[in-house]
Amino acid sequence: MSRPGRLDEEPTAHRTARWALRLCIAMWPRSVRERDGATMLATALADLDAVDAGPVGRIARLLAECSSLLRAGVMMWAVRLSTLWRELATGWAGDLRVSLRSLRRSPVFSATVVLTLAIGIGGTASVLGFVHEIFRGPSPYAVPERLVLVWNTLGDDLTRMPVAAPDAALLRERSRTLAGVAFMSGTVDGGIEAGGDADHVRIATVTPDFFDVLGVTPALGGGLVGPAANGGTSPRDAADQIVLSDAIWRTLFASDPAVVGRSVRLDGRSVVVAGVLGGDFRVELPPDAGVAADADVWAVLTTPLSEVRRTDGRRLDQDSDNTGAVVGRVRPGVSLEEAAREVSGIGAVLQEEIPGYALADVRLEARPMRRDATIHAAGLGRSLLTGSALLLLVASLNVAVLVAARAGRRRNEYAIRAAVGAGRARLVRVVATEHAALIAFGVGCAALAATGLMDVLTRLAPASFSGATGASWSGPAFAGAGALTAIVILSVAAGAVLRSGSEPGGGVRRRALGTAGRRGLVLSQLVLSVLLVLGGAVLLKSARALGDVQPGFRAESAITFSTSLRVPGRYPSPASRAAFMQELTEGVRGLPGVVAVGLVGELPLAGGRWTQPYGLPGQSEDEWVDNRADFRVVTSGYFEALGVRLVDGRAFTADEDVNEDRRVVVVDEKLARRVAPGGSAVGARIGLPLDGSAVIAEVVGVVEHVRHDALAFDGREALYVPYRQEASRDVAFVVRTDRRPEVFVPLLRERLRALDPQVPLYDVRTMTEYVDAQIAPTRFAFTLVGAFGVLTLLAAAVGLYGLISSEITRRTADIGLRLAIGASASEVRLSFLRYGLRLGLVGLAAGGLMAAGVVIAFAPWFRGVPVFAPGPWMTTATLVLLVVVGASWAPASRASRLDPVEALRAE
Amino acid sequence: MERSKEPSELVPLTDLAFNILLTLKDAELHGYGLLKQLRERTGRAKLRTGTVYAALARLQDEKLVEEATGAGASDEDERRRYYRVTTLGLAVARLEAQRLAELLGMAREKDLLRDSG
Repeated sequence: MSRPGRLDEEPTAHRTARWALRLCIAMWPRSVRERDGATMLATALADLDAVDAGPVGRIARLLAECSSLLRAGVMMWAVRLSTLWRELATGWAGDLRVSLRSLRRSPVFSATVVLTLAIGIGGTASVLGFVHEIFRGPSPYAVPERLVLVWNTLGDDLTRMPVAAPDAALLRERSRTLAGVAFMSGTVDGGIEAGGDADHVRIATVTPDFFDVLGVTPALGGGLVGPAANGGTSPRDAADQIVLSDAIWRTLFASDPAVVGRSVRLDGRSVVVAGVLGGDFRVELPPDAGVAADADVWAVLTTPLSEVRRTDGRRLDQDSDNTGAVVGRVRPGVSLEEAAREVSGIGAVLQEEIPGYALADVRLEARPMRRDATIHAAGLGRSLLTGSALLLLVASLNVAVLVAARAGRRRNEYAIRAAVGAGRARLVRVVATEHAALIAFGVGCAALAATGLMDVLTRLAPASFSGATGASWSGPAFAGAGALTAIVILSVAAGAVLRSGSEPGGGVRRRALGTAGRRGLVLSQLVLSVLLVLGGAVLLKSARALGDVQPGFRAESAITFSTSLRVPGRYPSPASRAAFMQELTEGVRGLPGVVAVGLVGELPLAGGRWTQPYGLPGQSEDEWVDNRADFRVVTSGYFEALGVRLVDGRAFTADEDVNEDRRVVVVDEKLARRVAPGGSAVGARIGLPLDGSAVIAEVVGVVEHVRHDALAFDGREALYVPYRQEASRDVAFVVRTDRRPEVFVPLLRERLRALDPQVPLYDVRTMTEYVDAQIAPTRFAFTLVGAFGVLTLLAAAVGLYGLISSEITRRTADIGLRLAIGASASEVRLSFLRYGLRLGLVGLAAGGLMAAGVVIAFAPWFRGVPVFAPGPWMTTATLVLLVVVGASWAPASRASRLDPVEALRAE
Repeated sequence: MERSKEPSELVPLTDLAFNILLTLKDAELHGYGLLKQLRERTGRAKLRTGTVYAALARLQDEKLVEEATGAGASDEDERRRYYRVTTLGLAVARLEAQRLAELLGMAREKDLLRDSG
C-alpha cells in the first residue's frame, strides 16, 4: 500500500504533512493524544500516501485531514468540559449539608472565624466608607474638581486668611485662567421677618454669580440673577434678592413652594426670595480659615465688590469685616496648577501696587476646593486608613492561621477520603464549600456590623466632618475587604488539601505547617498586636490629656448667649449701644443665682477671630504691623464671669464701661511679657490703631492667657479694651450662675423682651459646650483609632488563643508520653505554660522594640502625646500575657487530665 | 472510583460508533485498516482520520473498544495499534442492533418499507 518511491521523491512534502498533522493532533486532549496519537498520525499519513492525485489534490487532501482532526479535537474538548461542568454542578446541596454539619461540629472554630471576619471586614468597610465620604463623597457642586478657593496664606500650609473684597474684585478683573470669581462673606447674625415675628438667621452675603460659579441650581426658583421667578414680575435688581437654605425654608416657611417671589424683610430691608436650595447644598470651607459658612440665607452684596469697605472706610485690614471666602472656577483646558500660578502672580503684583497691602508676609494662593476644605481631616483620614488596613491584615492572618491549623488537624480525614476514591477536585470542592459557607456567614455579619458602625460613626462625627453625614459604607470597599479575606482563606485551605491529596498515604501524619512556621506566625501575630494595642492605648491616653488642657478660663457654670443690635434705625451710635448693653447687663445681674455678668465681642473658641496690630513702648507706627494680638472688647464683669484669673493690676471698672476719658487696656500674661520683660506691665503704654488713628492706651491689668482660636493651640497674645471704645453691634454675654440653663434661659428671655422686644437672643450655650466642641474632633479621631486598637486586640487575642491552643493540642501525644513515663499533671501543665510564656515574652520584646521604632520614626506626628508614659505599655504587656497564659493553660490542663493511653492515641 | 456502565446506558450509538463495532467484531484492525473498511462499508469516501479517531477515543473511554495485545500486534509497524471489541462492546452492539431491528419492525408495521421493498 505504501509507496516508498514517492516518499523518497518528495521528502520535504512528506515532512511538511507530518508536521501539520502533528500540530493538529497536539490540540487533542492529552489522555487521548498519549494513547492514540502515534497511530493516528500513522493512519493519517498512510491515508495521504494512498491518494492518487497530483500535488494540488494531495494538498487539498492534507487540508481536509487537518480540518477533520481539528474539528474532532474541539468537539472532544467540548464534551469533556460539559462533563466536568455537570460533575461540578451537581451535588452542591449535598456538599453544603456536609459542610454545615462539619462546621456545627466545631462551633468554636466557626464562631471565631465568623466573628473575626465580622470585626475585620465590618470595621474596615465602615471606616473606608466614612473616609471616602469625607474626601471623595458626592459634591453639591457641578464639576467640583475645577473649583478653587483663594486665600491669603501665611507661610505654612494651614494658616489661611480671608481675602478682602476689593482684592477679589481685582482678581476677577485680571485673571485669565479663572472663568468666574465669586465672593462670600462669613455669615453674620440677622433677622428675617416673613409676615409677623422676626426670626434669627445666619446671613451670608455673596456676589450675584456665587451659585453660578459653584454650578448650583436652586431646587426652587431661578436663583440670584435674572428675573424673580414665579409671579412673572418685571426683572428685579439682583441686590434685592435672597436665596434660602432648605432647612430655613422648611422651618420658617413651612416648606411653602409659593415662597419664591415673595417679599420678606431681612434686617429691616425689603427683599424677594429668588430661590430655595436643595437639602444637600452646603458651602465647603475649611473650618479654620476664619470664614463662617453656616448660612441660612444668602443675600446679594448691595455694593459692587470693589467698593466694599470697612465701616470706617479703611480697606486694607485683612481681619476686618470686608473679607470673605473667594471661590474661583478654572477655565476648561487650563490646569489647576496654571491657575494657582497666575493667582499667586496677581497677588504679588497687588502687593507691589497697593502700599501697605498686607500686614504681614502674606501670599495670595488658590487651592483645589475639596482638598482645601478637608485638609484638616487628612491626618485623621490617614491614620484611620492605616488602622483599618492593619485590622484587616490581622483579621486575615488570624483566619488564615485558624483555617490552616484546622486543615492540618483534618489531614487524616482528607487522606482517608482521597484513599476511598474522592478525586482531588471533589475534595477541593468540599473544602471550598465549607469555607465559602463560613465566609458567607462572616460577610453577612460584617454587613450588619458595618451598618451599625457607620451609624455610630456618623452620629459621633463632629460638625467639622459634616461632609460625612449620610455616609454609607461603600460597596466597593466592602467587596474589596471581603474578597481579600476570602482569597486568603480559600487559598490556605485549598493549598492544605492539595498537598494532602497529592500523597494520600504520606498526608496522614504530616503537619500543615512546620514548627518554625507556626512559631513565626504566633510571633508575628504577637508583634502586630503589641504594636496596635500600644498605638490605641497611647492615643486614648492623649485624648484624655487633651481634655485636661487649661483653656485659660473656668468653663463650668458659665452660660453664654449672643445678641445683636441690628434693629433698623435704632442704636446708631456707639454710645447708644453701650447704654443698652449696660442696661441689659444690670438686668441680667439682677436675675436669681447670677454671680457675675460680662460681654465680649467674640467668645473664645467660638470660631470668630478678631486681631489687631499694636505698638510696644518705643516702637514707631511702621513697626506696629509686625505685632498682632487677639483683640477683645469687654465690659467690666467679663473676666469674673468667664473665670479668667487676674494676675496683676485690676480689671476694668464699671466707670470705664461708660466713661471714655482715659484710654485703658488689659493685657494677658503673654503680652505682658513682651511689654515689660521681667517686670510688671501695669502702667506701661501700648499703641493701638483705633478709629483710623493711633491711640496710646495705658495697661491697667494683666489676666491669664486664654486660648481664643483653638484648645489645641496656645495662640497669640491678647489685649482687651472696654466695650465702649469699639461698641460693636454683635456681642456675646457670659453669665456665671449656679442655675441650670433650662431654668435660667426663660428668665433671661423675659428680661431681654422687657428691655426691647426687637432685639434677638440666640446661640444660648454653656461655655462647656464650646470646649467640648473643640475637643470633639480630636477626641473623635483618637477614639476611633483607640477603638481600632481594641478591635485589633480582640482579633489578635482570638487568633493567638486559637494558634497556641492548637499548637498545644497538636502535642497531646507528647503529653501522653510524658504522663506515661511518670510526669505529674502539674509538671506537664507548667512545662506548656513555660512554652507559651516564652513565645509571649519574645513576641512582646520584639513588638515593643518595633513600636518604639515607630514612635521614634513618627515623633513629629506624636507631638505633645505622652508616648512613653508607662501606663499604655504596661497595659499592653499585661493583656498580651494574659491571652498567652490563658491560651496555653486551658488545652494543656485538658490534656494533662487525660489517660496517658488516650493522650498517646490523640495523634 | 468509577462504576462501569450498564450496556443499556450506552445505547443508542452513533452511526459511526455502531459501524466501528461491527467492523471490529470479526477482525482486530489497526487505524488505517479500520478507516478503509469503514469507507467501504458506509460508502462515505470522505471519512477522515480525525472523525474516526474521535469516535474511537470515545469508544475506548467507555470501554467498548480496547487495544489488542498479542496476535496481530507488533508485526508490521510498532506505531500501529490494533483495536478490538470488548465483551461490553459486543453486548452494546447487540443491544443497538436489537433497537434498530425493533425500529425496522415498527417501520414495516407502518408500511414504510413496502413501496421501496
